[in-house]
Amino acid sequence: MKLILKNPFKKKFIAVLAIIGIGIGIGAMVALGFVTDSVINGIDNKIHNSGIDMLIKGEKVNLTDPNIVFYGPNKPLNKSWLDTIKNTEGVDSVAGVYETKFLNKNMLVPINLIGMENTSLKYQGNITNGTAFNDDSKEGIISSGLAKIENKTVGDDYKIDDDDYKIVGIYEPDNLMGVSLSFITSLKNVQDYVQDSENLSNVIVKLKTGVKSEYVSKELKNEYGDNIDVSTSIADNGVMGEMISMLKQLSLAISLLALLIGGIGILNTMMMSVYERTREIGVLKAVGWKNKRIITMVLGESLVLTMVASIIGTILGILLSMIVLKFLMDDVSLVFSINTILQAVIFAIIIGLVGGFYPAHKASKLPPTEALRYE
Amino acid sequence: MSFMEIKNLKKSYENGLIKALDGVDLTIEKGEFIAIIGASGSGKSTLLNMLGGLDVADEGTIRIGDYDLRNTKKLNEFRSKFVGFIFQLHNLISNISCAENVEIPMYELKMSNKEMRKRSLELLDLVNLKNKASSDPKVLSGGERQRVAIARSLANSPAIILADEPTGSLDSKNTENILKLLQELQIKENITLIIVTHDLDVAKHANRIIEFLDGKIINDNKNN
Ligand SMILES: Nc1ncnc2c1ncn2[C@@H]1O[C@H](COP(=O)(O)OP(=O)(O)O)[C@@H](O)[C@H]1O
Ligand SMILES: [Mg+2]
Repeated sequence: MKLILKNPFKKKFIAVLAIIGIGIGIGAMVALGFVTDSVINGIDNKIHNSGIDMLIKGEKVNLTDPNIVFYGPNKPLNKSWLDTIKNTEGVDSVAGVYETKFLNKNMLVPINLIGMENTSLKYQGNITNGTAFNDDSKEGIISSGLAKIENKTVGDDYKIDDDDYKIVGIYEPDNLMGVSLSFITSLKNVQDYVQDSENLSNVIVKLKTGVKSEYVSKELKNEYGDNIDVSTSIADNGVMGEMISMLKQLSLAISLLALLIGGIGILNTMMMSVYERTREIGVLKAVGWKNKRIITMVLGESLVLTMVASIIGTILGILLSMIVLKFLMDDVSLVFSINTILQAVIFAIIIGLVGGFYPAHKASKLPPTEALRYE
Repeated sequence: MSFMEIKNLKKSYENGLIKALDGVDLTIEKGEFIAIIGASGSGKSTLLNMLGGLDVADEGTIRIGDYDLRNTKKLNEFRSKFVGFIFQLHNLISNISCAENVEIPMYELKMSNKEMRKRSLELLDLVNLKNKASSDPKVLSGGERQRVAIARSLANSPAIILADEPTGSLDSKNTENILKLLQELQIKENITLIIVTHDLDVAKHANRIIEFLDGKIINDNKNN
């Protein structure tokens, strides 16, 4: 079926225009997909490097539940879970964390108050100044961002509501809980502050070496899936998770836009092509070509166009994501996700079929007598 | 029973305002070489369309072989198996080779690519253009293109060849060559050849000349 390969390029200008249009849409899709996946992968690597393999929170709060105001998106977790999780196969160690927020008269935004035992501090980031706190004292460490805004340094006092804490260290947050404006003190201090010694807000899990987090998370989900929320990736979790799901929605929106514009572009290109080849198609019908074969030919042509566009778009997307990562996120390396490429190819096929269908149908209905007309 | 039987065939356009065929009766035997002449607009092409199963008449009967062309759902099959068309314009497809053009009617005949290529080369040889098999029709002269079109019309070994002004855009020398070629093939393969023309010199080659006026046959002469 040489015609399928050669016909689309007879009218080069129009074909190129359609290809560029669809190519850009697919390029944007691919770039967004690659960047998102690369960022997730980069952050996940960081988290896992800091020793966290999984993060477990209480069950997700239904979005219509008014308690969401108090808990955030997850309910608290009873501290008995600590043992349950620790005794799960593959788990090496667990650490309980209590996160809450407090208001400070100098600041408009609430500040994170994180409670954890000092042995778990390594999961939060690096102490760049001073030392870790003592679990039994009223001391804590302050994130560098908060220290700067509050103009505090090691040795100063820090007041949270009516409690006075001594700042013993400043740390640089670097993982999924390490929000930039935070104060960390012992788990006990925070539980006292919230007057809730029964619960935790999340449990950090470190697995035995060689154990796959996907495997353990699946086991936990199977066993306790209704009561806890297990995440192995930043993409499942918290603010980053929401940002990522927004990015994914944006990517979907771009894809749909590409589908629409691309579909219309292909429709237009193929309509013109069919119209210009009225006589040629008449000949094909005159010599006995069935409608099915003519539809196949036109659809095939439109698919060739969109496949070329998807190849160009994918290359464009790879280049674009390389540039974005190079200039905006130098430490994140590019991840070529097959899913994204697959998604681009499937979209191209859908565009080709949707945009090509009507012209193909039209072509098959052209009267063969057109071939004989001589004007 | 004759090969083709046409009775009281009528076809009109523009809601009956134009009577392109106004009651045509005609019988044609296998292997005849017929020229259809007549003024422009007299219905020649319309008749050819009906004979080739490209269009369906409004009234009357038209039977060719076993096909009742006014009441069949298999016009495609009829064209594909029995008819070869030659048009005034060569209607070759550019960007593909002459051989590929000749192969176009073979797609519906369940032939393998190899068989198709073999046959298209044989046919191009028959019209003396084997050396142009891989050329784009764009680079051929008018006469050569029409010869490729003839090769294409023979692709399905048709029982009938219908040619609408096949020499209309050729000079007299090329016209003479094309006609000789068609006549040779027609005799050799016992093809029923029907040519529409307004050129009496062309018509003289035929065994039978049918003249049209206003959608009706006004003369039907056997030459020999
Ligand atoms: N598709 C069509 N629509 C409307 N009128 C047509 C059509 N085809 C042919 N006609 C008319 O029918 C008449 C016969 O046409 P045609 O068979 O092409 O004549 P010829 O081939 O003898 O010149 C002419 O008046 C022509 O204008
Ligand atoms: Mg005519």
